[in-house]
Amino acid sequence: MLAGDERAFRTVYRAVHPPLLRYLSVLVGRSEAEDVASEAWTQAFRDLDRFTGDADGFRGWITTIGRNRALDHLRHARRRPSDERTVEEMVDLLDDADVEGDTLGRVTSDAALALVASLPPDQAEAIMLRTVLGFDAVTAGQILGKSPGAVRAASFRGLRQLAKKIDRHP
Amino acid sequence: MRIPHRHLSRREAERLLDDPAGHGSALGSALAAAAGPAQPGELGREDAAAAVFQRTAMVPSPGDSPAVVPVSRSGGRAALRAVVATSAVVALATGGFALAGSADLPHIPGLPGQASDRATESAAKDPQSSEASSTSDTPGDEASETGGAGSSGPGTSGSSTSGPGASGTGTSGPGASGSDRPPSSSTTTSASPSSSTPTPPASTSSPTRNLHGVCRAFQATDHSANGKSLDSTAFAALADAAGGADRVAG
Repeated sequence: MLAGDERAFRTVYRAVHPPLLRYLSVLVGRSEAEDVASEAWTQAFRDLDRFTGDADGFRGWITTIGRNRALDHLRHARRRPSDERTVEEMVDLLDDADVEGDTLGRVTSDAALALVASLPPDQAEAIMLRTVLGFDAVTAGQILGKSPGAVRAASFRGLRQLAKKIDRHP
Repeated sequence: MRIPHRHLSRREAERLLDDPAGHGSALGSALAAAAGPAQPGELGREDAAAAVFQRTAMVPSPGDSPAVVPVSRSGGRAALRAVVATSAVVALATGGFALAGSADLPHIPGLPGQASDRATESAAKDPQSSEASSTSDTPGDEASETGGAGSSGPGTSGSSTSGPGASGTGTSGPGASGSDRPPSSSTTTSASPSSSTPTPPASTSSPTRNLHGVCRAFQATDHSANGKSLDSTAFAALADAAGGADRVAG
């Protein structure tokens, strides 16, 4: 991909874009996430000759770019979008779907993302980076500008909050 | 299986984060769902992204592409003038450092010295707004800022306003410079003050990258413009790589 091979790019894009999009949707909301992600890709293409590293390095790099773009976006919008659905509705969606099965549908995925997005931003980000994007605490810390310990603490608090939300609505 | 939140230990939380689906709890299932397979709608812009990739990233990488700088053709003089105009554009984008080094540059339509001065002044006067408008996103941007600051010593020619200012100027600069080259060039070349020393590019990677940016700026420039500042450091690096000034073609 770094040599300009479109097929290689598409392979990378299909692997990297969906998780990136979900992460950004937690930050800026679903409706804006696509635009922010497009901006991030465009900037990554532009600065591609500055990038050195492997596939994981690229994921971290473009996630950092996407996060900065999202924060720029939020600074202009001056607010973090919130899902209009209530937590109860989201948990209902989770319960209705076959979350234990192999096929996890879009609705389930959306509801789970909306639940994570209902957390305070630092907790939501930490959980998204650890689970959806699959970064370890050290890499997530680099992306967030925090220590790995701070990332672990934020994700721990977030998980407890999530567990509460789900427990409260059996 | 539901695990009451009060029972969630830190160790358990780490296990959940490492393998949500394997945790066997509702919380784990929810996290696994959030990380579920890609949905078709999530790849709806793939073709558009690929098109942008083709346009933006298909510039051959510096390592395997001496062809980025086209080899000579007969009109060497015109080519040199075009490159000079390019260096002036680069100078605008980087806060005017190269322009200051070429006092005998005539007033060129579309590349007025005043514009450069204004750009430099505004960048110097108002670093806050420059920083605010700059896209300090990538680790690379931070690197260029650092490089810019480091280059503001006496060794560099002219009034380098350092990375942040240059990058801010680059964002809004194309309008002032009358050039339609894409922001990519200014972003890339914003690092050039840090490496455009009189010595030719050596084995480090950053001069090569800067050269790449200069070359892209050159290719995107209106080659009909006139100028004769042949000793610009940005140009010197470009000419060196091409094997001599007369081998740089428009």
